[in-house]
Amino acid sequence: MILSSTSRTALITKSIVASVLLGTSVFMIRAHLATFAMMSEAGPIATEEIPSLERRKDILLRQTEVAQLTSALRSGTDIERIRAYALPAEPGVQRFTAAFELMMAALQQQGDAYRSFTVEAGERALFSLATPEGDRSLSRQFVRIRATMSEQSLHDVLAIFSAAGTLTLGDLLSDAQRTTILELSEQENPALLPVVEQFLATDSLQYAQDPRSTDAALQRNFGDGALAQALRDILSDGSAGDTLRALRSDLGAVLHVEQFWPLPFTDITGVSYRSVDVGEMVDASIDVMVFGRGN
Amino acid sequence: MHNRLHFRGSRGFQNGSICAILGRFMDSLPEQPPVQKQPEGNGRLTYLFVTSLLLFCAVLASVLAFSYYVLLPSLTRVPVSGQLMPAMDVADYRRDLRAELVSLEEDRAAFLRPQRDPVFDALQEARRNDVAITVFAASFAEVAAQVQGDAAIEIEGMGIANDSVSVQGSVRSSRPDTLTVLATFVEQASHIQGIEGSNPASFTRSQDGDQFVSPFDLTFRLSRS
Repeated sequence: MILSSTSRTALITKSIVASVLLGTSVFMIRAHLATFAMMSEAGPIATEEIPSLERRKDILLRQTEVAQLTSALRSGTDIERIRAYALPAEPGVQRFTAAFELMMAALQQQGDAYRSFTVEAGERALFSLATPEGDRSLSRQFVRIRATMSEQSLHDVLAIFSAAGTLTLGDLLSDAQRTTILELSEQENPALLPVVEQFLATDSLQYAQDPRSTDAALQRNFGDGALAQALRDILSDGSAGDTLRALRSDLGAVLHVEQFWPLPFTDITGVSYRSVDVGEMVDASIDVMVFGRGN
Repeated sequence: MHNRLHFRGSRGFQNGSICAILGRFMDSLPEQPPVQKQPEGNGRLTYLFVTSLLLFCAVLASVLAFSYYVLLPSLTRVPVSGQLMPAMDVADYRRDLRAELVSLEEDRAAFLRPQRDPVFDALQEARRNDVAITVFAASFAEVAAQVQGDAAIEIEGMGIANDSVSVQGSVRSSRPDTLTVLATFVEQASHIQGIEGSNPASFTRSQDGDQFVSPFDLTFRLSRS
């Protein structure tokens, strides 16, 4: 074979270009085959799936608009209550101690707690908390409570402390529970989302003390459907159920009468208890962290 | 190979004639660039084959591209929500629609959140992830009821710290099997959700009247997830 160096270069260039074009052609043929395959799938997708997805999109758009509107009307009051009581500038240790004192007095009256108890408060400390809007500096103060009370009372006190700072029924729900409720409302009657929203915005202590009017509104709108049943189940089981049962007791009544709800936001960091010989009493030690917004 | 263009017959003309002038002019021109010589024999065959292949591929790729971008979209349309849409776009449309639904669901859930204070929400989220002693108390009582049989497991105290939960109590039985019951309790309790395992502990058995007693003070490690 007689080829000059220039001809060889031209030949190699042409070969490379031809290979690239051949590769492109193979790719295009595969794309054609994929399109033909898609033709058989596109029919059911277009006639069955997409219309239902579009209907759902319409429902969600309407629900989101309504939720946005009512949320804007409500959030202002909630934020004020949070800043005043649940998460004030300084950790609300005084308010927390006063509330616990009231609760112990109620338990003592029923013979469910001994008269003496101790509350030790630690130093206030600053810490950083990651939020969706960036790191925020907050303050917290350690508090240790030692008291002797019945095991059921300890259970109730812990349930109330674990919900301290929350305002509404919606606060007591987990994300998964909230999603379940929204999905059921969408299936049953999307137009009644404001009713669900109003139900979730009900003050949790007020509901625990007198659920009749709220439950009646729910019954009137949803009857005994899956949504009403799911709400009842969620609010009677798990941690939400424990909290509402505790708030329904005399402990909740005293907090309601003395207007100590919402309590300052607390986190239980340690608990220990040991049975004492007398009756069903336990010596309990509860460690909590009380939070404040302070810088 | 250098090719030099000669003016034919320039050498035979006398000085001063037009041809001689032109001949001299042509001679004074710089040498022409080399002209590529076509390959010969097998080389020529290869050259022709590659050129034909290049042309074929170019035509094929062009036709296929035209078909894919122009013909297919117009020939494979399916009706979607009252409008005709190329079949190849239907799956993408469905994917976009699903993504939009997820985003709308998130928006709706966000508006339905009882509070809109990010600090408060973040604190609440952190607290939700904490371990609740009330949950553990119920779980330990359940395990005790399952394994005690004729013996009696009495849980007298519990404590929970950042990464561990301690349980104090005793096993009482009229038969000398308290250590077996206790070992079963520890093994079963280690499988409670949120517990990773138990720390080593020593067990003893003593006699209290006609009862066998094994007190315990157990520490279980909490799983970090």
